Amino acid sequence: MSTSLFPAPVSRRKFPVEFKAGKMIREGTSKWLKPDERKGQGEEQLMHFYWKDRKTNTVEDDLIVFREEAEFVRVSECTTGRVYLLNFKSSSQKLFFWMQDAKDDKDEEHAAKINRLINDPQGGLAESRQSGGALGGTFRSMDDIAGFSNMDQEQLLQFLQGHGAFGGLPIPSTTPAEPQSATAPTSEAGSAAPQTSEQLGVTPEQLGNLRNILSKIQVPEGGRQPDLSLVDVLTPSAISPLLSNPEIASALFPHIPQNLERTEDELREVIQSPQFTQALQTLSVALQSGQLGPLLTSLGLDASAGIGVEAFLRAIQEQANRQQNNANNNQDTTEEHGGDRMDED
Amino acid sequence: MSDMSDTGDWCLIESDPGVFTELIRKFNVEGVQVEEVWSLDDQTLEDLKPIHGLIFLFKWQAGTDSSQHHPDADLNINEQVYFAKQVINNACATQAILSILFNCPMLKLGEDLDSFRDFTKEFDPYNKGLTITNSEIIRSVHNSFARSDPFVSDSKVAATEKDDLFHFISYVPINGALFELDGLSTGPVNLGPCTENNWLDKVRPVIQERMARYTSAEIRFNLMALIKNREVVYGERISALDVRIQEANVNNNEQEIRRLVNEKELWLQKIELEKEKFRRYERENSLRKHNFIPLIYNLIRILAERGELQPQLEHAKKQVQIRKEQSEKKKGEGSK
Repeated sequence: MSTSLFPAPVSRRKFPVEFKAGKMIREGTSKWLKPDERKGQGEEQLMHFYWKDRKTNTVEDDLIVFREEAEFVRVSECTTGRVYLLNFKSSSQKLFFWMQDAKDDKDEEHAAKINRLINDPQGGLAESRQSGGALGGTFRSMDDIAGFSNMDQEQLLQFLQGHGAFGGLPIPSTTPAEPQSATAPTSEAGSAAPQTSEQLGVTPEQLGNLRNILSKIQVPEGGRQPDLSLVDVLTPSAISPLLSNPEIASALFPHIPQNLERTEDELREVIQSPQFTQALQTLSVALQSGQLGPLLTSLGLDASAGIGVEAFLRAIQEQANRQQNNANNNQDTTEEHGGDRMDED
Repeated sequence: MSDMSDTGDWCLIESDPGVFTELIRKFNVEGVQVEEVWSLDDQTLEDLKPIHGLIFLFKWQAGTDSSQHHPDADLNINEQVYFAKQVINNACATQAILSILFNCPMLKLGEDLDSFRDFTKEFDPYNKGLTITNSEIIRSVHNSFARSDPFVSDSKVAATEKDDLFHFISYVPINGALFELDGLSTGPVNLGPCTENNWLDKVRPVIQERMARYTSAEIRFNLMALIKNREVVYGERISALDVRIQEANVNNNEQEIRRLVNEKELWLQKIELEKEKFRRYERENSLRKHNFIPLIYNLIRILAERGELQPQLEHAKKQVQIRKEQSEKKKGEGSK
């Protein structure tokens, strides 16, 4: 999320590992940040995972990672770029990054270091100290984004623009890239970084499978209407009052098309657009078809809960409850994850 | 339709003037746009002039391709007419547009389409169609209108029942004759001689006859015109007015000046309206391409966190129940 809970600048200090990586979300009106993501040791002997906007030198994300709580793995399903996933085992949170060092030869090394630091902080630190500032160099130059053509970059954006339910689903290959917009940074290295919103509990392995399932779903025209449609649930009268809440509105801004204004009015327009209704309808039919079963399972829903729109809604409700419980139990560590959700307490 | 192969990764696109206009713009064709035609009366068509060609969309029915529709017409392959067979269903909107573009030598098609036309002009209709289908440039522009949610394999792609397919045909004046170009027909249909000035009068009864047929069968159809870019047209009118305003100035004809300035004002306003329309197109197209799933998920999530999801779900279920009862009631009444 673009609204950082911890916008405080972090003073320059030695980090065990740092590298350039880009955040895998759409930011406002294509306001790509040029951050670097770093991992550092905080004051309390806790491992921090930072993502910093390199232009403003502001830390946007500061996540505390407990020992063995997360893993940093390559998303092998993404063949168009070097995408890594910071996968929290303790929650459904997933952070996607795309590596932006000009060369990819250090990617695996960074990943290995990160995993080492997560799994064995002391050992990992000792190791990093020995190798000294070898990695510091990556911080200096603003190289071109290696390994990405513009098209791939755009596809990647689309691929992971959703950091919601289907956050990690690659778009079908039939969707071509949009011509590059003037505002999209291309020649500057961004650094890939995480998104702070929650992801569903989908493992990288499942991403590919899900994508296959979803892309094959075919909804017959005028097909049988699902008994319960999301159109009935996400009615304007249900949504409209929410949009007056500036916090909610700004949490939703990243999810409307890039070229639209970030205003409450525009949100209302989007939600009343035929395209939005169509999307609700299509998703409903797909849910009803049962072909999204794996998705529901990945939501942590008991397979016996059945299929359809209601199961989907219940799964999200349960997920929200879980996360809120986590938040209550573990305020310190989850607070900064809540960039786009509304904490009632 | 027997030689129709699978969809070959062509998405289905909406027949909408905003979509078609952007499609053409993305081919780098300059100075044209697409408008929906609501009426065939003189004034409507006059306002749209110059019209390069018309595209008629209708629900496809077996045995209604143009060769059957006009059994007596000349269907000979004419080397002056660029005619391509339709090889893939979903490509037909783009193909209808290309049928007009490739037959309008006065248009600036841009490098891509120019070289494509040159490359394929000697091909027979089937190979022309096949080459269009296999053209990466054409397909990628066409597919840029795919929705970016995971269900992009568009609903209608799956419609194997043929009566769910929509079909486009084009009407273009080519070298002194009016042609109906239907990719499902064996050849271009020559509807008789015409001039640039009277071709709309000639095409009117042809289209009216089709409309009458589809209206009575309650079949959806619509008509679009590929026309010269309005801003350019209005700009030219303004330039002409400026010349006359200058003349009137020289002659000190106050009344004439006022009249001309007012008229110019009118065209300036129309240009503003055009600009606004293009902004709207852009907005709608971005919504068409948008992946709404993250938004949907987040809305549900927010409702869930606020404890509003459950009540909303109950409310929705009640609505569904009411709807069901009503439709059953209707059915019951219907069978009496």
